[in-house]
Amino acid sequence: MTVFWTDEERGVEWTYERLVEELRSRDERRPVVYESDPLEVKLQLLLAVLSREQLTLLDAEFPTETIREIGYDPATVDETTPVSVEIETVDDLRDRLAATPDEWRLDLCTSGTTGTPEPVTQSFEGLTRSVRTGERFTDDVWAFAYNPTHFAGLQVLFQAVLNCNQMVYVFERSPSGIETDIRRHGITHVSATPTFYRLRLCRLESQCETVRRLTSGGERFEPSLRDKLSTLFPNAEFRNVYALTEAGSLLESDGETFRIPDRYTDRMRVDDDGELLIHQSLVTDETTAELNGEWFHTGDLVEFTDEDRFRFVARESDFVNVGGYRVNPHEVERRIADADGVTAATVTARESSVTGNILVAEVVPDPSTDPEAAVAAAEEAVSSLERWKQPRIVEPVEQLAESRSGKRIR
Amino acid sequence: MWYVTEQDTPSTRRERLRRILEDIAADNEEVEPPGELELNTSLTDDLGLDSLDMAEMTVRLEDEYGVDVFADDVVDEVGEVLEKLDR
Repeated sequence: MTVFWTDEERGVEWTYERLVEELRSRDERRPVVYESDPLEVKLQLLLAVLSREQLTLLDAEFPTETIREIGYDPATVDETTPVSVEIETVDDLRDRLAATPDEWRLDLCTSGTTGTPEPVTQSFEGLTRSVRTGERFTDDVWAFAYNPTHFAGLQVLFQAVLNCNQMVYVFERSPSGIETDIRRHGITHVSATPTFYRLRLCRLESQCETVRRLTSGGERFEPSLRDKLSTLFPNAEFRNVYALTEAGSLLESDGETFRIPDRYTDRMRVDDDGELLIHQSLVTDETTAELNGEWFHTGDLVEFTDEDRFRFVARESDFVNVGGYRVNPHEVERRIADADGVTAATVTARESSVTGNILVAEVVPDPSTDPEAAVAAAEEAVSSLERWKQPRIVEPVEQLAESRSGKRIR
Repeated sequence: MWYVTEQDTPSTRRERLRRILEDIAADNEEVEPPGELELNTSLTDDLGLDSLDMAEMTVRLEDEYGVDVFADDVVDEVGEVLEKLDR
């Protein structure tokens, strides 16, 4: 019997047989899910797919005020509707998932660019575009390191379930708990945000040799982070994924730079402003994506490192105005995070009635580095930048402020 | 979130402003170290602060006293800054 889900924090472990039994026994499901238990989120999603009914996933981190803003009544989101799922075996489960019709739809919310989450509609094809199945995947064991309602987490779920792989929920675990989980369950695959790698996985105390693949995406992944991870995970290949909630996974790379694959040369391009555009045929969320003619503006700015390879430098909306200058905090953050003695850094805009904004930085010193020395190293790292790009206040902190999703708060 | 860590009197406020200006001068050789602050000392003409230095000073003061000294109008002399903090 293969384990489906392990959550050491909650003392839960289910096999795939138990999952099938549970899905069969349910006679109600929730069309709108606003739920903090990660296993229940998965059950509700699978119930919806198997019954071919639409589902809306709301992030449990959203305050009730946000739930109202996006058009739901917090008092009634838990209402249920009858459901019947007729599967007998684990093979039935996988076969029925694989045969999900094109019409099936999932609504989920992105964090948006204005601060208010924006609903996005996804098809099963979009959710599973990057899923690979076959013999060589049967022994994979996944660390589940995402918020259960986020797009990347859904991709891990389907990759695991369609190959009958175990998932170990590490999203809420401490670094030592993650290390224990990796050894106890022989985790082979980790997929997480760069922030999760920086703040949790980089703090493991010894090498983890069972891990064969590290996948990341969603933010810039600096080379120094990759170097640190290579030491801790000596047998792991690295894969960087560029995915959009509106379009699924689009680009893959083994490092920081990407190239547009041959199959997409007519459907992805970089415009004169350096923004990555994708053709409407790749957009799976046809209801809300903003198209300009046939092209969807991703809002992601890239710079070419050679003729056909580029790296992501910022989201267009990430720019801030400092005294009339357009500044990209990520550029500054990258330099500071690469400084000796600095484990992680965040650079944010602080409103100023004098210059509109100024940049401020928080740095997490390396355990062996004095906080003052880390601040000095951070200041030195940006000393060659224009003055308006230099953070005016640099503070040492024990850890960066982060939301439960592992994304740093800006 | 802001707080004042020491007894809040006109003289401690002036001393705090002096230390902030010292810090700014330490990072920018164009800025004169403040020495003893006179009420009519001009931050720009006498000490040489530019807009970024002024912005930093304002943010640091706001962190400690909860007052944005530039919120309503432009201030330039030490006395004008302290007057804002007195309110």
